[in-house]
Amino acid sequence: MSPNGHEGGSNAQGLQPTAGTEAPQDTSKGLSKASVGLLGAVVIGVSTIAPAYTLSGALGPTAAAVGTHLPAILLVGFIPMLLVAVGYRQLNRAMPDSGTTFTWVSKAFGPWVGWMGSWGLLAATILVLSNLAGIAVDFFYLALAQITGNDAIAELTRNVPVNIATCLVFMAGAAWVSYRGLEATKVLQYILVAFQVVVLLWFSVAAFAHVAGGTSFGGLSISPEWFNPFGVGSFSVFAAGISLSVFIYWGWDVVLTLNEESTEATTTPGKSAITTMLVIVTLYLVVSLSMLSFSGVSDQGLGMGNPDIQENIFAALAGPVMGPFAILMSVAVLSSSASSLQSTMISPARTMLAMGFYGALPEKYARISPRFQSPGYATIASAVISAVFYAFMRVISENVLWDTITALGMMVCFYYGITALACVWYFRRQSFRKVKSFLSQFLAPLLGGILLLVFFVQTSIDSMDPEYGSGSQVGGIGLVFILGVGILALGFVAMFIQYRRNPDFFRSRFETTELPVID
Amino acid sequence: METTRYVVGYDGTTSAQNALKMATAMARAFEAELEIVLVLREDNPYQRVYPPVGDISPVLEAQARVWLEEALAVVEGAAGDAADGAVTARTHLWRSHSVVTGLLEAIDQLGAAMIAISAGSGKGRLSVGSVADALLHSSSVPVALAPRNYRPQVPPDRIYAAVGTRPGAQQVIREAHEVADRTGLPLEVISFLTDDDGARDAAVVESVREHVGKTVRDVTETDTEVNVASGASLKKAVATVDWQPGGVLLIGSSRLAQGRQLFLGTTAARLLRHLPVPMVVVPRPGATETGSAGLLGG
Repeated sequence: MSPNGHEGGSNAQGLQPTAGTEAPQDTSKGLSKASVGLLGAVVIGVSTIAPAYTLSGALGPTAAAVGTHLPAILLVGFIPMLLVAVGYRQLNRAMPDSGTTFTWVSKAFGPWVGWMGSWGLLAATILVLSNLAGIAVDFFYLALAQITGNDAIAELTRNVPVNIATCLVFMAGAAWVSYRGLEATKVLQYILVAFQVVVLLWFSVAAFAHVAGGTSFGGLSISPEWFNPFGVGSFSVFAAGISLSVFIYWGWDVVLTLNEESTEATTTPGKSAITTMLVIVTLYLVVSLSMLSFSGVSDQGLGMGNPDIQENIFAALAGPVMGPFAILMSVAVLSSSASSLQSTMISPARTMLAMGFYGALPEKYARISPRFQSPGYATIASAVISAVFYAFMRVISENVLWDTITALGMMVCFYYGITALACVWYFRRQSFRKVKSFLSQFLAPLLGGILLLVFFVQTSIDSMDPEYGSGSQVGGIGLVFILGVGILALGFVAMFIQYRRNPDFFRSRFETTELPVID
Repeated sequence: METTRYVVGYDGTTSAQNALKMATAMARAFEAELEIVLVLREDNPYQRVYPPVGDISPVLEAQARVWLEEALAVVEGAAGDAADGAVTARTHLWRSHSVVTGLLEAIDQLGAAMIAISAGSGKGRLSVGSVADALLHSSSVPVALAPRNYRPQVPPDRIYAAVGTRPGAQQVIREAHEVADRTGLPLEVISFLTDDDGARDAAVVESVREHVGKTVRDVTETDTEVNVASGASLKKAVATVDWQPGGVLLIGSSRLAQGRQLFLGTTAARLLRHLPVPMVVVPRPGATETGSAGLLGG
């Protein structure tokens, strides 16, 4: 013990904090890396897609658009997603530390386009947050009704003030959990995913059994025509279906971001992405086939074309199909939307954090809560925006869940499309050197990006029709159009306001050739 | 002799700054160096963020560096008032899946003799925050807790040792005596008695004083001030003590603790709520160990 050895206060070497590169830190990093294998990656992928929630919210609107060609759209809808995901993977490998639409697009196309792409991503997450919370509210009261045996409770969700109040409570809960930085554990994720898959398969088997026993509502038998994408009536209908199926597969690309943590980094991400895709496509096909056979597409009663049950199809069908075990479906959808609600709540907060950090949003969005190491201001902001948006929509829309899903599909097409094209531009100097890079850095993202943007434009034009989607309208213009295009227009306004406040970000030039670092 | 190092668990909050000020004062008095550790939590791979937003850890890291710079300024400020105010401090960014795990790793790998942390705020019986609570259950070195509203004003100028009449008191007295001996600070051994323990009965008070006094003499072989603080409640008993603003209270961990691990006893936890001075919780010696590698280090 020799205090005389150190004169003059804090010593010089102490002024530089030790960066996270020393041995101890690497050891602990290595431990968490090793923990995600193939099965783990598939569980993460399925959990992020949240099939029980997604199918409940999206199968109805998709069936409304394409009828019995639902299986065909589910198969074809995957293709643009796959093409874009190939580009995502390339960008993610080149810029793993800043893997957001915001930074990628800013670096490829400059700050203005980057800002709008990020706005599209933010809007999509705000939309999905309100939809998730809305589905959760429906199933919350349905589950309560099933537990207590009192059907009147399930009707509470139709009471607008009660519905909005419950939804706000759910949002506040999710925001609190992500503000505190609480996380779901491995075991919990495995249980949730296994439970969802088992219940969905149970539903399908029960539905087929009803069809075979002649006790189903529709009683259709599976036809090869269901799988024919060219049988879909018009390009508008096709585009609407694809926009929705993009939402249905939204979440799958998370598996591609796992490469940093996967056990065998070179092989596992590709393998687990394909495995996840197979699991999900199979599950979706089985559920949609069984549902189509059971219900048919008529617009009466339990038909999938009935607008009254479309926006939350399992809520209507689980009872007739599964009988007393319908409570399991309620729990599956409720748990899958609750866990999605939480993981999705973190995303816009972090996007806003990154934007605040770069000066693309006011600085307060970059504030980090020291106790919980979470973006405190941005988390609260995204929860408040989602809640206000939901309350507003619940009041003006006849079918809030349906309209948000449709607008969400549009928004996902928009930002995925832009990001895919960013990939093409970012790699333009190197993508022609090899056949492999030509395919993965140029052709796949180019095709995927153009397809999604075409679907975005087509859906935008069609949605001006007041009859589009659920048929909600404002002043003779379809609500979905107002939502989708209105949100983007609002983005332009917000962008110019930020430009007037702090033009630095918009004047900065990002080099596309060098490997960028965040600070 | 090797340098004594104190790990300071720091997170950039005001209460962490108070803990850091406390640690600076103790480091100067006890001739130790400070290792200021900020643990950045790593994302759990099973909790995906969707849509993917990439890695925000560079942003967090930049912020953490700012906090650590502030921490050094705090040490500088707290140390600067005194003429011999040189306190060596280093900062560390630690990555771990939880703050507690990171701090325990830091204690282990930096060879720290003590960890200083803000007691934080907790509800219920244990009035400490979750990080402090977990550390008290798992640390193998003494844990110095800055009370929630503690504002350090003067450097340590008096050592208090809180003991009861149950076995285990020797360890705390030995530790406190060693600290007092080597720093030249006065030592005062205190036993807290409430009405439930018979504080109203003069005979009981006297027998406790006798018992503690004997233990102190056995351990220290010197005359040390022994004080029985009695009151209707623990709060009242604590209030009867004439606490020096620069006092530091040493207390033993609960007898429930496994060898060489800490466990904050009920009395200690309640004490913390009313205490105006920092509290250092000293672990019990392990079954195979003798003596102490306490807060003065090897």
